Amino acid sequence: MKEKNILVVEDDLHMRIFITTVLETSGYNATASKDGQEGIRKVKEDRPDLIILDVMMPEEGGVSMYRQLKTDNQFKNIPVVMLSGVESKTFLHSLKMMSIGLRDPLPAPEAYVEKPPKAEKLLNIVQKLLAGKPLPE
Amino acid sequence: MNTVTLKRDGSILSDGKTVDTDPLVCLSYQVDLNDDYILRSFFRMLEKHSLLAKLNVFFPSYMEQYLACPDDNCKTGNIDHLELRKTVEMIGFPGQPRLEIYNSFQGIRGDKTCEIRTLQFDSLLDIPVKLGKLKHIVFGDKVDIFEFDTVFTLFEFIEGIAWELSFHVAPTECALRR
Amino acid sequence: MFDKILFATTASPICKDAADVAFDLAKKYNSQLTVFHVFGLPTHGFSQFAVDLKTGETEVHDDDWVERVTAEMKTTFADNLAEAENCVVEAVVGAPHREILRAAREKDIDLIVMGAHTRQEDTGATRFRTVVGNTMQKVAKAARCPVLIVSRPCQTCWWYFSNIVFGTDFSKAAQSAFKFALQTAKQIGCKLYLFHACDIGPTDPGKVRTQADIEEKVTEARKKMEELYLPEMEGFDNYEIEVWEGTPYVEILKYARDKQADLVVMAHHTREIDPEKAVLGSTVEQVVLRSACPVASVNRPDKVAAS
Repeated sequence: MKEKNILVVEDDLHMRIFITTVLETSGYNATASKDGQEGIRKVKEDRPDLIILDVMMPEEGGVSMYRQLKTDNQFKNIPVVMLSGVESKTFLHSLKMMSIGLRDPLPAPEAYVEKPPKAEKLLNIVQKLLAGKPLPE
Repeated sequence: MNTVTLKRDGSILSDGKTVDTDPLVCLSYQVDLNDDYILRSFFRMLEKHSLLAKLNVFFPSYMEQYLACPDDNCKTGNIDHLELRKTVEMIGFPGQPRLEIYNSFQGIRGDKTCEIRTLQFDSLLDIPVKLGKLKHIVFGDKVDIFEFDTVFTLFEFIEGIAWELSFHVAPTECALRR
Repeated sequence: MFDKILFATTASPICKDAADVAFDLAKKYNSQLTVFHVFGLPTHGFSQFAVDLKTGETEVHDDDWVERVTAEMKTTFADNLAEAENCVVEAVVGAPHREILRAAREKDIDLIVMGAHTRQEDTGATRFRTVVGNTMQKVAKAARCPVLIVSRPCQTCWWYFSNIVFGTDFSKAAQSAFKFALQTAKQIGCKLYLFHACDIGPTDPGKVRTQADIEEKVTEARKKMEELYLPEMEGFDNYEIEVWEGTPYVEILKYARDKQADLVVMAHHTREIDPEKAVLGSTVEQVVLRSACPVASVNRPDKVAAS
């Protein structure tokens, strides 16, 4: 069976290595990029099966990339696991606030993980999303 | 109520009356700028009210520079106006989650923010000064999604400008070479 | 003076200014440069990664991890490395300040280069943030060589170095800082500015400070500068002495700008404290925050004399 491709978009070197290592040792094919711009480029080139995206990066952050993904018919169905330095309640509130200004509100990401991510939890989420199964609470 | 208006000539109006003596009580009032307010007006205000100049250790140095500048045409074509903005920034991992609130004094050109640290007084004094909005940063440093109207006190206005100007220490040569 | 340089980096692109200074210095003075990154497993909360997910065994794959980090660092600094002749990239697991100090000792480093800011931010944001992080505090305190702190250098107009400003408060640590500044000026052949700011400060209530008082203090300080430092010059005559009155960090910044300083050398701390207990002085921090050029903090005399 073909290996699944996962794109990791994360500005911190160690977080990037950690997540890609966790994915690779579990049989996934992981590529990484340092920022949203590079991330979008890789999405177009590689068409990953899943994206793990850090939403609080400097410069444009991950929001800009997230918006581009979710408003593009080619990519909006790629599941996104959002990584963030704040807890999910805070994040979802901010997402709601952000959507107020947009004509079509942005959907919440398929999953949300607070940093630092626990390897097991991350893998569980990735596995279920790729298999189209419901996520653990 | 509890608002002061700053005029181009440096005077402070409170309840329609010019503040003549002790301006300290005005520090906590909401500040409003006349439409024709420029950075030079700020220094005129400090000349009229020297007590306010004690708010920051850099003011004696600024006054020297201000007095050494020509009486007009101290501006650069690259900046439309200078703006005081407020930012509320949500900061998460790594480190403890927290909210930071700070003011920034920046140059604006069109709809873009410009760095003004390399500019000296002779390029800044005659540029208009305006009060800007509050930006709420959640997801990173450059996403301009949340902006709200806000208020500034006279103290924040004075302090915010003083803080920014303390960074304008690059030798003039650097600016020339750019 | 700068035979061996250690650039301690957080390995993030935000370190770019400090990286450029380190590489440029190394190029100009033909130094051996070590690009050094330390990361600590517990502080990242990454203890989980030590578990091999296939076998379930707890192993710390230090070597693999270090290799990956080193490879990434080489990508981050690819442009700088392309032009570097004598440079080594190292990544080490451990407590950052401890490893940096250890490496500096073992490699007999002459100068440590570090960046002051860990996040890019506008000047307003720096209002309530610490200028100098924990690691830099600990390194600057214990380093046997000067620590060059880079904040936002003006890269277009440096000559590394043609004008050195040495700011003194006459403390013992300032003596070491002076030695470093003098030796650097001699070896490079550039001008040395010796500067002191008389912190007049608030007066006692009821007392009025006259201009005469101020001038007397300034004259006294100038005499002290001449007594402390001129005998050490040993024939070096490309210097100037200046004393101003005012808040030290305000005056140093003003003076450095006046003289187009491309290096400011200061003592690590300003009082006669036990060096083991001294934290990086607030004057140094205030200067580092705003300085257009790098600031060298000197605490100990070990590596400041000519070798």
